[in-house]
Amino acid sequence: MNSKKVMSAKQQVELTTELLIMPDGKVLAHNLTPAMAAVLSELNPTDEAIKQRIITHVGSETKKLLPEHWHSPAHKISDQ
Amino acid sequence: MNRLAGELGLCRAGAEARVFSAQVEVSDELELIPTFAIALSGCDLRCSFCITGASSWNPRAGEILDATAFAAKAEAALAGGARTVMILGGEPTIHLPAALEIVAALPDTAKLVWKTNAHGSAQARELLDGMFDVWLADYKFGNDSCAQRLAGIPDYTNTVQENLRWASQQSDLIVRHLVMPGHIDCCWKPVAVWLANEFPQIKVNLRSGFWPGWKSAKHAELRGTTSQLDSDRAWEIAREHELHLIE
Repeated sequence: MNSKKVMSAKQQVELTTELLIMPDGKVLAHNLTPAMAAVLSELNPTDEAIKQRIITHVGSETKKLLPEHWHSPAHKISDQ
Repeated sequence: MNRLAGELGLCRAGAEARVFSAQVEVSDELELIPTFAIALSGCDLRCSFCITGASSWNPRAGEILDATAFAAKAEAALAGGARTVMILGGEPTIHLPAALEIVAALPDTAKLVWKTNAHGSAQARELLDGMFDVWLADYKFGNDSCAQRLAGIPDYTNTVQENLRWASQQSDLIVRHLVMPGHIDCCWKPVAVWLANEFPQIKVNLRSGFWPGWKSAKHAELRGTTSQLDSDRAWEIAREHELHLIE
């Protein structure tokens, strides 16, 4: 879904990830938040590009949205 | 141009900076994420394919920047696990005083990233000397003709190359290039050749996933995503020139 909302001068800053789902099923993501990365990884667990971006350093409210196994040390992002 | 007196330049930005996005993100380079990305509205380029066009082209998008408040949010993000703080746009160079205010309000230990189109003036980069740990710079076009047609900007190549040379001496430089449909041989190849000759060991992020949004439909070749053929060719060029590609 490609968001085309127009920002007004008074509009407050809010969390946003934009997704573009192509007819072939490819999903492009922009401004990817940790929570959305986790969602995308759940949709396609074999996608290495997204898997590398999964982190456990999220706030408590976001953590509630994630599957429990995402909180395990195995999903911590590797240092580059 | 005196923006304090209400005069407006190409970017149309006034005296005050605005923020249209400020959040922890994980879509950037792996060595930089999670990053707390503070995006300032307004830009000096007019890229038809801009992925944040509605805000990047509108310097009045978002809320007025309170540097202290956003620095506090950045600090909280760092305490929560973010590895870097990134200042971007639009193009943050058009809001230098505001950007420097944010930097001044952050702790010295914060790892700072300057995400830029690398088209700023020599005067601008002197003010940025020593301020950022990482310059994450776009090298978008391989020739001035494509830059003029797709982004409305003259004298692109000389300006960007000069800034990249400077940045490579001042900080950890990462160069980004977005693979665009139909622009492999005219844009990516010259960029790759120059990088290989000028900075053989520089970190290069070859970005796939061209997003045919904003005003990209104005150009026939930009009405779709990058084909597999173009992607393969782009990566082949990178390998031929032994570029140091990073994710």
